[in-house]
Amino acid sequence: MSKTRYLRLSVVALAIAVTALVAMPWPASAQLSGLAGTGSSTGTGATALAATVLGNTTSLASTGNLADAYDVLGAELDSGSIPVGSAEVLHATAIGEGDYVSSEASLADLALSAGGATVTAAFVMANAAADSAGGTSGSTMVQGLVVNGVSITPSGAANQTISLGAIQVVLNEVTQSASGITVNALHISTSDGFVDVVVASASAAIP
Amino acid sequence: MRNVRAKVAVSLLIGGLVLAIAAAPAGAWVPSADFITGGGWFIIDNPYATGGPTNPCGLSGCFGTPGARANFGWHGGVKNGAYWGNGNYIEHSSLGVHAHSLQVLDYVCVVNCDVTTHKDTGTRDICGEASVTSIFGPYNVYYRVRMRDSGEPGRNDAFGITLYDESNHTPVYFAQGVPISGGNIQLHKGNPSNTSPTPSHFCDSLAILFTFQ
Repeated sequence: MSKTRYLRLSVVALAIAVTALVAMPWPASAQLSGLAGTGSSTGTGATALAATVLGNTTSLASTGNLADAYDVLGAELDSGSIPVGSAEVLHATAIGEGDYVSSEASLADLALSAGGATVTAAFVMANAAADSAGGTSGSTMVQGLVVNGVSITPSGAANQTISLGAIQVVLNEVTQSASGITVNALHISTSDGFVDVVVASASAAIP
Repeated sequence: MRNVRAKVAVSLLIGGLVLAIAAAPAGAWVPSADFITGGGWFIIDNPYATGGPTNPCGLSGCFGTPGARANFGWHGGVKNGAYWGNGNYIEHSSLGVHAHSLQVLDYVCVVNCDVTTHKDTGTRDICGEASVTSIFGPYNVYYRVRMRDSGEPGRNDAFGITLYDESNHTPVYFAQGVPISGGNIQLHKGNPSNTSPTPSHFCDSLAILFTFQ
């Protein structure tokens, strides 16, 4: 075998090695190209549980608002208590993708007692999103809701309202504005105004 | 002749390098510069509950009560050159297992690694260390959480969690919901301000027991 033959073998082997290097699955960050989207987005955030009782507000698993459309925030809590109840596995995130922002909040095993009424739910979640074209969307999920011992089935309609004695329960509460959307899975308040509880709230401001 | 032997050696060396490079991806998980988030609940599926000589959890099997309800809230990804995330998991049974993430040590792509839109679906693994409370008391473990976004609104999304003994990486607890019974898992596109950390490959050290991708 000639020297030229060995040299060719080496060149072929090197070429294969370079090909293998190029074909390797490098981190996805290297594949990301520039994304559309502007800088600031205020008002995109989520809170798993917030209660105002006699003027004092308590928020559990709350992300706060994104600093800009490239920010990401998260909050997780094993369990938490407010003056009128408790919940477990409280979760909230807010994610900026540049041209698209979204937030979500969820919790499990909600137990509230207010205005002489009891409210329990097995699982509650809210999602909200907005894009740079001005589009917004939101959704909620409420499972195992029981108010004063009566099972409540969500209709799916926005702002489904149930009044039982001294309390009012709003399911799938949606607030839409020119700048974005806020979705509350459950909003419970007493007629005397002393108790106001929002369960799983997600907001998204158009980036 | 000496020259020929040298060239043969060089060729073999390069050939060996090619083989080594080609073999690397088989055991290496690809880091992702995106995010995955979700909350929900499921009925536990644990095919490793009954131990045996071929069970990856060993003769005692893996804890995780089949048929019990479990809740989770978890998120992971990379942010500003570091792994990012947190999470909680509770099994509602006499075991009383409750895991809370202490730190994320790795975040890797399982399915659909090139996310280009916010509607893309895919699967990610988040690996790290968690504190656990249960009837056996408090202790720390390593965890591998798998989250699958199959589209909206949470239809066919899946969640799984494996906990490992920190001393030898043996799986000790397993639970998965395929699909989850309620909630939503969302895969999010990365953004241009985000950078990946140097890959830790920590996930590679934790055996995969999930039966879904």
